[in-house]
Amino acid sequence: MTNLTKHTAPTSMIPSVIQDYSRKVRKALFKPKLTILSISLLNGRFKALSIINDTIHLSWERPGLVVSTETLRQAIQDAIHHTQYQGTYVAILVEDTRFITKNLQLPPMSPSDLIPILERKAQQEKNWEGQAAWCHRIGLKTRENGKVNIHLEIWPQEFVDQIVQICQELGLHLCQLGPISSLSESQLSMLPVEPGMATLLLTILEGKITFVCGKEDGTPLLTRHLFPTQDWVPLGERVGTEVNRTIMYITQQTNLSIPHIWFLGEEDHLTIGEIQPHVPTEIFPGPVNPDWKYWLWVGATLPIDHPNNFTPTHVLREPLRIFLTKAVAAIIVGFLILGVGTTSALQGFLAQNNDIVQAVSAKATILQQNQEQWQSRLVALQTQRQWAQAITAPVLPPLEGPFFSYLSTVIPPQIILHRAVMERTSEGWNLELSGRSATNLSTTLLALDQLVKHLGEGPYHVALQPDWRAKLLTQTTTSSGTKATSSLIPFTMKGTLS
Amino acid sequence: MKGLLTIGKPNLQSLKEMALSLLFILALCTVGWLSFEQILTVQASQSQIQATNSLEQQVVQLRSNYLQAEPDRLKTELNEADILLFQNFTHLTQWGHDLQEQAKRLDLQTKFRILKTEETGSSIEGVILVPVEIQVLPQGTNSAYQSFLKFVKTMTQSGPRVDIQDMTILGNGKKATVLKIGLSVWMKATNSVEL
Repeated sequence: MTNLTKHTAPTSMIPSVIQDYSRKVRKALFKPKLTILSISLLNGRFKALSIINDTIHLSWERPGLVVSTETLRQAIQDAIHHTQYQGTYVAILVEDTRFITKNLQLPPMSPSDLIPILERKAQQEKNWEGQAAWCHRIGLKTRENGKVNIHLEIWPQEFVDQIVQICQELGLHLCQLGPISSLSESQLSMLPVEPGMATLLLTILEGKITFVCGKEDGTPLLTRHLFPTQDWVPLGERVGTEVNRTIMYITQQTNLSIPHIWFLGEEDHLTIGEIQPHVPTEIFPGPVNPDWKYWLWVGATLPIDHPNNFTPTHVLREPLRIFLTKAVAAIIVGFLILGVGTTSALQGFLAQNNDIVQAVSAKATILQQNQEQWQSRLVALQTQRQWAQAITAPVLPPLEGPFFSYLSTVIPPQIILHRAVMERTSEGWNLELSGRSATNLSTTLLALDQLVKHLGEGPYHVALQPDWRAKLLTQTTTSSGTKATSSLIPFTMKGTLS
Repeated sequence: MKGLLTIGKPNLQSLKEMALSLLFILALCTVGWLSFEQILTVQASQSQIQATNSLEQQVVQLRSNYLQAEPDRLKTELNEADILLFQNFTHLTQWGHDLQEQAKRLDLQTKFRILKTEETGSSIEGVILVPVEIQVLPQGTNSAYQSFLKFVKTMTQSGPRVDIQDMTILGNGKKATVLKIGLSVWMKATNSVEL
């Protein structure tokens, strides 16, 4: 039961404009050709029509009545056989005495509030054991009290489940399971209605009289049924009375007027001539002369989102689910084939180039050895060269010999040199000269000054410490004070060569 | 209760779909993994080829660098360096004797003394510095100043590398009497690695 509620509730929530637009887009884009087995089960009378690629193929009427589930299963099987139907889709329209049709007037409310009320109402109205399945359609909003008319169809849930199970067992996709009144309502859209007007369609189908009032766009406003139970009143008069009541109700509740009444039915039950005397509004015959094949065609073309479609949502989605499953499977298989192919191609490529890869590996090994060898050689070469260069690198020249040779040429004859020392340092050479002079002080100083000048100018540019003179004078004063007879004047000079 | 019933009895169709999905996923994973592995192998091969080419270029470059470094000239350089080094103390002693002989020709007497026999490391690997002191005395009565200078010249041009650290000439007012030379000679370390 809840499945149907779920099915019908969203449908009523979606604006009809969007639904129409979606339907038009689907038709424009896909234009599927209709292949379906349309079945009607009207109070046990079983009829079937196979439609293949938008063309009526074969029809079949089962003799006798279908009264049980097993008989229905066999009837559908026979219908498939006799109509040579090879498709999978099936639409079933049912009229049964157990079914209940109610017109309710309820205050406007949200679907979340409305659904529980309708559910409770359906369970209250059912006259059979078990759950009730129901569908509803919101119709005309009354002007007097602001309530809305709700058309409620109540079926046994068990019957719906049995139909679904039979279709599953027979491999059929059930896409339509609705009441016969859905056919009448669907005919509103084919009637010519002037703008701003409404119309009333009177149908007689298998003896069931239905009044359907709709707007110019085919939207049903009110649906009523009339059962021929009062035999003492002529049927034409009774129908005319109900027509008048319906027109008055519509006129009262809306501003719409109904200028025409259309009659679509079986002439053997009732004719326009029998009704017209009791109705002031003119009654026209329908644009088509329907027979039961026509109604089966109409039933096959009902949209699956019809408000009175009792087919559970999961059953409706089954074809799409199967299609998606197949599509996904095809994609996966394609991917598998692609993957296997790619892997095989790569494997073949690798096998083909295996020799090259091995040769490259061997070459890489040899190259690594060569690299290490050449690196080792280069490092050894550089190390040995650095070592040799470090030994053969030029150092400070041996200056001592040449300097002492030069010293012998510049030393004055008055000067007696006792000690000459050259000591190498990191910056150059330290020089120390010491000796005595055999002349007087002034001559000694002159000679030493001459020596200092030569040493400072010469090729060696000796920088002598200037304190040699002070030391010499100090020593001379001390010596003359202590030992006046001494005639040798000592001196010491220190300097550097750089 | 209905939900519990659904959990307790899973739909057979759902189980089939789940099993099918698992099989597909497994197959996909297997194929994907194999493809991935193959692609990795191909990439590894390509990388190896590129690395090999790069390695080959490096080897060529190394060889070029080695040849540019003139390895044939190294032997000459090593020989030149080897000539400047004393091979050992025997060589040093022999060099001292040769100097004595040359000093005699200059009418000089030499005293040759190795100040320190233990190895003193230098900044150059495999080379030690040995301090040597040479004392030169004149044999005659004449001034030996010029002979001292000739001796120094002979010593510095004798071949091995000798670094004069200090040089002292002493005299007595009439002539030069003593020449003292402090040297630092370069010698191969006894435990040095033959280069």
